Amino acid sequence: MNNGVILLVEDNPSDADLARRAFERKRILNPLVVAEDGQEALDYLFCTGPHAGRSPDTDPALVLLDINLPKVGGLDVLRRIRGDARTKHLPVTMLTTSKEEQDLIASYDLCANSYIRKPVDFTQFAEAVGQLGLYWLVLNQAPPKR
Amino acid sequence: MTAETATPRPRWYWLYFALAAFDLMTVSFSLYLNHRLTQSYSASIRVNETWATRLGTYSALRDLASKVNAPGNDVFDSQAVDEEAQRMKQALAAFDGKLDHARQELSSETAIAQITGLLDEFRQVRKSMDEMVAEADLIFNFFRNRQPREAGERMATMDRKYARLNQAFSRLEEGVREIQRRRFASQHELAQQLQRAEYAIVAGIVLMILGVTWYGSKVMREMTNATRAREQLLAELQQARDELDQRVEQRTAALLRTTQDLNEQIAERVAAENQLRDSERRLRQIIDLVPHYIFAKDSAGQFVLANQAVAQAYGTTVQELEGKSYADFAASDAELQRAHQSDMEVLESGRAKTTDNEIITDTNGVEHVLSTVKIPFTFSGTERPAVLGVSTDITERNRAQQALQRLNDELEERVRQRTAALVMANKELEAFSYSVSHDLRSPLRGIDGWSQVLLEDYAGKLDDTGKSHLNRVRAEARRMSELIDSMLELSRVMRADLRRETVNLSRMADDLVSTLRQRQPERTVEVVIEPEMTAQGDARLLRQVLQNLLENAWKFTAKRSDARIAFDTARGVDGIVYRITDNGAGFDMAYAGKLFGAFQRLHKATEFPGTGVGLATVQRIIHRHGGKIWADSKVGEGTTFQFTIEESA
Repeated sequence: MNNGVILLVEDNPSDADLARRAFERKRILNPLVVAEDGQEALDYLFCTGPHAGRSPDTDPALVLLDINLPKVGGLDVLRRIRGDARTKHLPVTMLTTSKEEQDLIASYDLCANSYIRKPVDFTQFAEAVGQLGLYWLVLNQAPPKR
Repeated sequence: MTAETATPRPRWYWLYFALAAFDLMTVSFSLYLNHRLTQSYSASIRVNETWATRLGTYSALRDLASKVNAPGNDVFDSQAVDEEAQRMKQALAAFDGKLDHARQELSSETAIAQITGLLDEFRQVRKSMDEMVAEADLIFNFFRNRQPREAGERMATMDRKYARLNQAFSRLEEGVREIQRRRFASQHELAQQLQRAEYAIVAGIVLMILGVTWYGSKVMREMTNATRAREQLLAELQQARDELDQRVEQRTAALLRTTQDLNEQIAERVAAENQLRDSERRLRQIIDLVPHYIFAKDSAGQFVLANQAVAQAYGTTVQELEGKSYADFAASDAELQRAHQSDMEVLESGRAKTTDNEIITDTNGVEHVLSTVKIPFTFSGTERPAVLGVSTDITERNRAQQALQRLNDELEERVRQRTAALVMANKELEAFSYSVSHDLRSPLRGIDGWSQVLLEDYAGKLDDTGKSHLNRVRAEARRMSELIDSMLELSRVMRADLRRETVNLSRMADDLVSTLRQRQPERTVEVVIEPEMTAQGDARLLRQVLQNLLENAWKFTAKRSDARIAFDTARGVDGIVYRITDNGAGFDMAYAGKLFGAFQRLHKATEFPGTGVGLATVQRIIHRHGGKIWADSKVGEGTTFQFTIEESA
C-alpha cells in the first residue's frame, strides 16, 4: 500500500469532510491534505507560497481534483501538473459534480487518469471514494520516482 | 429488266420419239407373233384331225381286210363255199372302195415327201390283198372240186398273204405316225422360236420401261428446275411492280402535300400581312401606352420615332416631335452634349449602352433621374444609322430604394444587436446550467451526507421518528438531485449539436431492454422489437428518446403480470412511423395536452415515480429531428407512443 499523501482539491468544506469520512470508513488511512482552491493546490504541488517548505520528495500519491474551483480552475491545475516534468506522472482523478461533456473531454484531453462524478447519495459517494482510494493506492502500480 | 421466259427443249428429247417408236414396234411384233401362234395352232389342230381321221380310216380298212380274210377260213367249218365266196366278194368290194378312196385322199397331200412311201405301202396292200383273194378263190375252187386237202394246203398260203397285208397296214400306220411326229416336232420348234421372240420382246419392254423411267425423272427434274426459276422470276417481277406502284404513290402523295403546303403558305402569308398591319398598329398603341420614354434618333439628333411619354415630357405631340431635333428641347447645352456623346458612342461601337442615373430636365424645369438603354438601330428601307432608346424614370424608384436601404440598414443593425444579446443570453444560460449542475448539487450532497452522519454518529440519541425524518430529508435531497439532472438533460438536448447518421434503432432498443431486465430481473415482460429498424439522426439523442419511452413503458407496466412492450414501425402519410406500445396503466386522454410539458406528470409519484421531464426531453429531441410525436392511451389498457423522424436533413 502506498502511504503517500492524498491531495484533495475541494473548495466545499462540507464535501471535503464527507470525503474524509468516506476514506475513514473505508479504512484508507493515508494523510489527507485539502487544498481549498486551485492556487493552493499549485502551491502545495510545486512547493511555493505557504508550502515553500515542503520537500518535493513527499509528492502526493493521488490527487483528487474538482473542476469548479476559486482562483485557478481545476483544468488549469491539471494542465500545470501535466506540464511539469516532475509532476506529469502523478495520478490525477477528477472528482466533480459536473457531467458536462465539455468538462469530460477537456479533462481527458489534459490526460486526467480518471473522471468520477460525485453522487449526491452519501452512501454511494463513500463507496465511490473508497473504491478510488483502493484502486489508486493499492491496485495501481505507480511510475518509478525520479 | 428482261426475263428469259421460254422453256428450253429438254435434252435427249429424241429419245422420247425413239422410245415411242420402239413401243409401237414391240406392240405390232407381239400382235404378229400372237397371230402366228394362233395360226400355227389352228393349222396343227386341223392337220392332226386329218391325220387322225386317216389313221381311223386305215384301221377301218384293216377291219374290212380281216372280213375279206375271214370267209376263206370260215369255209373249212361251214363247207358253204358259195355263201362264203359271196361274203368275201362283198367284203372285198367294200374294202376296195374304201382303199381307193383312202389312196386318192392321201395322194392329194403332195407337199409331204413321205407320201410316196405311203402310196407304195398302199400298193403293197393292194398286191397282198389280190394275192390273198386269189388264194381264197383257189380254196373255194378246191372245195367246189371236193379237194379239201388241196384247199387246206392253200389256207396256209392265204394266211401268209394276210399277214403280209397286215404288215403293210402296220407300216402304213407307222408312216402316218411318223409324219405326225415330225409335224409336231416342227410345230414345237416354231413355238419355241416364237417363245424366244417373246422373251426378246419382254426384255425390250423392260428396257423401254427403264428408259422411260430414267428419262421421265430427268425430264421431271428439269421441269421442276425450270418451274422454280420461272416462279422466282415471277416473284421478282411482282416485287419490282409493287415497288414501282409504291414509289408512284409516294410521289403522288408528296406532290399533293407540296401543293397543299404551297396553298397553306400563301394563305399564311396573306394572314401574316394582315397581322403585320394589325400588329404595327397595336405596337404603336402599346408604345404610346408605355410610361417609359421610347425614342429613336438619327446621328444628327433628329427624332425618327417617339412615344406619347416623350412628347408629353417636352410639352408637344408625337406628330410634331417627329422630324424635330433633340436640340429643340434640351434644357441645357450640357444635357444636349451628354446625350449626343452617348448616341455617338452607341453608333460607333455598334453595341448597346446602359446609362444609369442620368439627369434630364423637362420643359417645366423638373429634374428626372433616368435609366436609359440605347441600341444601334437601322430603319428598314433606309441606310440611315439611328439609336433606339428606352428611358425609365427612376426618380421615384431611387427615392424608394434609398428609403428601403435605410430601413434595411436599421434592421440589420437591430438584428446584429439582438443576435449579440441572444448569444449573450445563451452563454449566460449555459453558465447558469453549468452552475446549476455544480453549485445546486453540492449542497444536496451535504444535506444527504450530514443526515447520514447524524444517523450514524447519533443513532443512540435519535428515536425512530427522528431517524424517519432524517431519512425523509435524504430522500428529498436525492429527488432534488434527480430533478436537477433531468433539467440539465433537457437544456443539454437543446444545446447539443445534431450529428446525423444512420442509427440502428432495433439494436439500440435491444440494448436498452437488456439493461432494464438486468436492473429488474424479477420482472417478466414480453418485449417484441421489429428487427433492423433504422433512422437518420443523432445516435446519442435517439438513444435518449428510446430510453425514455422504453423506461416509461417498463415503468407503467410494472403492475401487470402479463406485461408486454412492442417497438415496431408502420407506414404513415409522411413516411415511417415508429411505435412503442405497452399494455400498462395508460392515462386519460383528457390530459394528453400536458403529456410533453416539462415537469408535468399524469401519475402520482407514489404510484409511478418520475421527474416529469423525460417526455419533454423526448419531444424536443424529436422536434430537433424534424419529426412529430404523439400518444394514444386508455386508462388500464396501455399506451402507444408514435413518432416520426425526418428522413433526410
